[in-house]
Amino acid sequence: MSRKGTRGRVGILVALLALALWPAAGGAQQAPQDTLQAVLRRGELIVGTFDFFPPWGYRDAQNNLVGMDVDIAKDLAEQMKVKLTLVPVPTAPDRINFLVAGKIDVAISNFTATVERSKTITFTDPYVIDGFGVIFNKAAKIKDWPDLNGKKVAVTVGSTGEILLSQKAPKAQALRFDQASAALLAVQQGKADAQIEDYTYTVYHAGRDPKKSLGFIEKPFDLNPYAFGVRKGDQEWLNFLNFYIYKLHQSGKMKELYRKWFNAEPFRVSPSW
Amino acid sequence: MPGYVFQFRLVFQELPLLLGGALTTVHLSVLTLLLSLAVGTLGAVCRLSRHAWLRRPATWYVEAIRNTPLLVQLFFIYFGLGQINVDVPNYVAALAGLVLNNGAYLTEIVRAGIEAIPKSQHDASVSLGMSYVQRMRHVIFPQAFRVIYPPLANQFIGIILFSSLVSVIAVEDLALRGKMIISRSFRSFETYIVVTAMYVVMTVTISAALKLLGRRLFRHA
Amino acid sequence: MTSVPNFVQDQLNRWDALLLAVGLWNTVRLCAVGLLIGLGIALVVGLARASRRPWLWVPAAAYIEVIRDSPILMQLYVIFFALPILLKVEIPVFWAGVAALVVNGSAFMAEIVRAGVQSVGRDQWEAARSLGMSYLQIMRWVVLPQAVRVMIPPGVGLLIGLVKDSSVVSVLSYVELTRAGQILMEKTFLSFQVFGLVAALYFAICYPLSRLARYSERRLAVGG
Repeated sequence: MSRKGTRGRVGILVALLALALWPAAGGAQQAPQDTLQAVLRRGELIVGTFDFFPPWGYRDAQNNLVGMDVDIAKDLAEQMKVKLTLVPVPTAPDRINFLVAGKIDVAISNFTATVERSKTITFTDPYVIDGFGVIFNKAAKIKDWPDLNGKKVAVTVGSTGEILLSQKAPKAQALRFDQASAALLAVQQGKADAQIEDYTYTVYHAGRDPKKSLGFIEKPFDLNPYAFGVRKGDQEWLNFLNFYIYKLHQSGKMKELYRKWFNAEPFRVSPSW
Repeated sequence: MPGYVFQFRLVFQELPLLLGGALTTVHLSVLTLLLSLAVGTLGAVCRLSRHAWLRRPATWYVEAIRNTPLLVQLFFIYFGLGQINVDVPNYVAALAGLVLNNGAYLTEIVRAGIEAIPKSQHDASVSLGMSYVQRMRHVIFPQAFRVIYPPLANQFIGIILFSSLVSVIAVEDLALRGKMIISRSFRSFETYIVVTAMYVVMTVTISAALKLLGRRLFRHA
Repeated sequence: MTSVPNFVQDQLNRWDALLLAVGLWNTVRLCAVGLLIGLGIALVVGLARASRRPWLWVPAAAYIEVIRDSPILMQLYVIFFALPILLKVEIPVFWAGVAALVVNGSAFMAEIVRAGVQSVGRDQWEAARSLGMSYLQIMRWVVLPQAVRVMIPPGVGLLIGLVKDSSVVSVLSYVELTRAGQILMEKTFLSFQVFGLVAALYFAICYPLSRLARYSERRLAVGG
């Protein structure tokens, strides 16, 4: 068996490598979509959210999926008069992976719109503005962003926080986790000194720690838009969702939801400069 | 699904990152193999002991590990112990989890190896006046090693493959590096194919090398 | 600055016990379906592997080899993300999990099927042939009954392996037992209790199975 076995294995290896090295198959670019019609025909809206990121998408005491994004998804489905199916998205990059793979119709999951991500998917107009924040272990004596250098900082793979870490504190040691909740747990247990995440996240969690061992940097850094994510080439769906978001702001529902979840006024979505 | 344009080039640009992760996977696996072989040998000796106070805990250890998933064991060691203020850094937790996990399987493999040695060998060495330790060291273990070598080589392949799970506790192995590349290039399809291919290359190369080594080590009869 | 409605849960409540039960049930579902389909595939692949015709045993050997040389985590990702693109059909999380378990389990089991089939001596084949039995008849009445006896203990071992492997499906956020544990850990920060409980639940399933495997091994020991 040995000689044949080794040759057979080499053969398989070659086949796999050939497959892996297969040049860009000249397929068509992403064909134009019509998710709006697909949703209406199906009678079902499939929304991707997180289930580990309070207060945007998380599990409450009864383990139901709740949160700000969940409320928005419910409202959207109600307005479209279709059934809502929430799909928990495992990690930050999976919001894009799931969209591109067609597993969800839209990603409503505290999705920060960036230029880089816009190359692969399309963002709607912003529905909320958030900044970046740092949540840290009080024992680590962190006052501001430069203090992160030389410390262990937990980040989520594929999040805007991960990118920010390499920019703001290049000398910090990164601990990369799949989900923000795992990164938070690492900070809470002292395995990491701090975590970079969206500002509202840091405020929320610093407040909820029963041991009161977590602090956060008071001023949010660099205000950024959250938007819904949709596939490229999906113009009608994009227009529809943009209009929905406009109505969300205009009707005051957005302010109402923000007050419900954050006990505060939202940042102004349309900045003036 | 609409037409998908494959772009393996984007993944191959990041090859250095992937190779760095592969290196971590390899040396984590080698360390695990050596340490879990030690644990397995100790465990096997305990399992075969006449003393119940050695035999029973060893049996509990083996049964506890073999009937629970590695992922849960890793979470327990890293986050679970962390909650009761036993802080285990992520690389150590990964190593500990892998060693404890494989140690249990190796305990059974080494035990089978020792039990495969005919009683005549034990009797002969006793009649030569050897103590238990001498007997084990010079007669039983060398012969047992031949028997356990194939399943041991097999187990090493398993170690390499299952080491991909340590990516969930922030150890930058090949799997985590793959996820990082996906987060930048958004090419999940191409990345997973390339990473899988890299694991297969590692596994097949190492198992062929081990087979060769085995043939050379055990050349005589 | 802002004060947010605090959601602090210090202890596990009965809803959490319910979630663990749901996770446990989904784990059982994954493995039961995976076992059924996996055994079928293992039978086909194992018989193909045991065949002497190259067009059968080469693809079977290639399949077994590739699966055994790649991590189940990667197989799961490839099945979930890549396969739908290639096959142009959507694969829900549950079925992606089942597929990964099937693929992994069948590669392992196929070797056992092959060994089981090949353990039935050639003389039996020849005797059956001389009685005028066809291939299928020989398989059904002579070879498989004997092979199955040899295959039951490792078959139970396969099921135990599936139960443990199913924990990997948690990375797709499918609420099986491990994911249920992660959810509770995120909510309550009580990792020690939660994962201790989760480990105990896995043990409660696997340990009886492993006793069953050992028992069946003794009872079904093929003599001489």
